[in-house]
Amino acid sequence: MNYEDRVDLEIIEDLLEMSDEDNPEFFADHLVRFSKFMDENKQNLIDAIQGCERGKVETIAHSMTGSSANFGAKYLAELCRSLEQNAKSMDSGEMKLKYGDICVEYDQFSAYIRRKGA
Amino acid sequence: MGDQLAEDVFVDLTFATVPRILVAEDSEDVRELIKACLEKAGNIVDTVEDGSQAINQFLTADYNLVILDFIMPEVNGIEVLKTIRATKSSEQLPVVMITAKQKNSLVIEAARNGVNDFFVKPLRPSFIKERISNLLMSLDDGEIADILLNLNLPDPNELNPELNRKLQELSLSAYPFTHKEVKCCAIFRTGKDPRYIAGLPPDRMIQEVVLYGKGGFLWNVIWPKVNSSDSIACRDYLNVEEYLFEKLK
Repeated sequence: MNYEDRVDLEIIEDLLEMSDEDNPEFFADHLVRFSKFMDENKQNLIDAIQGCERGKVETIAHSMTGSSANFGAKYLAELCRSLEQNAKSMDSGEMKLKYGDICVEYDQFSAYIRRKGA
Repeated sequence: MGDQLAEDVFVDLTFATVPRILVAEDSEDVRELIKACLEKAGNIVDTVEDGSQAINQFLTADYNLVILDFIMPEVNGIEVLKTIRATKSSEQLPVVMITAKQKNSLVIEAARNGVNDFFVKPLRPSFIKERISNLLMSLDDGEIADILLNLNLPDPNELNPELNRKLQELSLSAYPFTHKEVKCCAIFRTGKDPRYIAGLPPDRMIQEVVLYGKGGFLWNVIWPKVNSSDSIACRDYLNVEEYLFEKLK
């Protein structure tokens, strides 16, 4: 499977084009903000899962869904949305599995997007 | 020329002529993305992180447009919208709300409370710029007229020697531009803060005014305006662009 099937190339190209003479560091800065946000929220998410705080899991997963989608991380957004929508019915083990999937996809997307922005 | 022009424009074109937009969004990455898109299009942008800050900001500054996230800490987007609509109609101050596809109930509530438009996530920079530009375009004919009528150059019809010399050097155009024409093109073509355009070095100004303008500006911006209005702004605008179009095509 081509990794680019998992991303929204139109959004990524749009974001890359935002870096121009007026704002050459836009994409790099935006990537830093995205990474910081995701890293913080991944930690918050696993804390909420371990504490079985389902409402908090929903809220955090919702935020991660939005940020991922806005960065063109289509599949990552789907995983986060799935956790957001199913948090109430999942047990802790299922949520941890989904969290694992999110972490793996996040790492893959990070590597991909850094190559694109380089 | 650049410094003098920048100074003139700074005096004449107040902040009231450059669209000022308030963005209320709690996610930093989304907030900064929208801000960058709007600033790139020449708008002045203020950002806040929650609904209560949005209301405070709305009460203390004069905006041309407000963009609100639905779900924010303290006060949510719908409450901010209701506060705005208590004093400003949708014609007086457009409000755009950011929503996710699945939040239909929120969309209906916003529509009932006078929202003008929605940004549906995921947000695409090109879409944001286009939609906001359209919203502002539909409202600012009066402001455009003010800009054109109040151009206060020593002589608006005086040629712009530096720019024209450069145009000739680059074989882009032998036709001379006046100050007024350059400024008009810059303002209308880019939608950017005219002080920014006026302060550009000649090479960049040419790029902004001429090269990009030739491609899509005439068709996307000028003709719809000419057909929909006979204001002084549009007549001046048409003259400038006919002038450019004839010489650059």
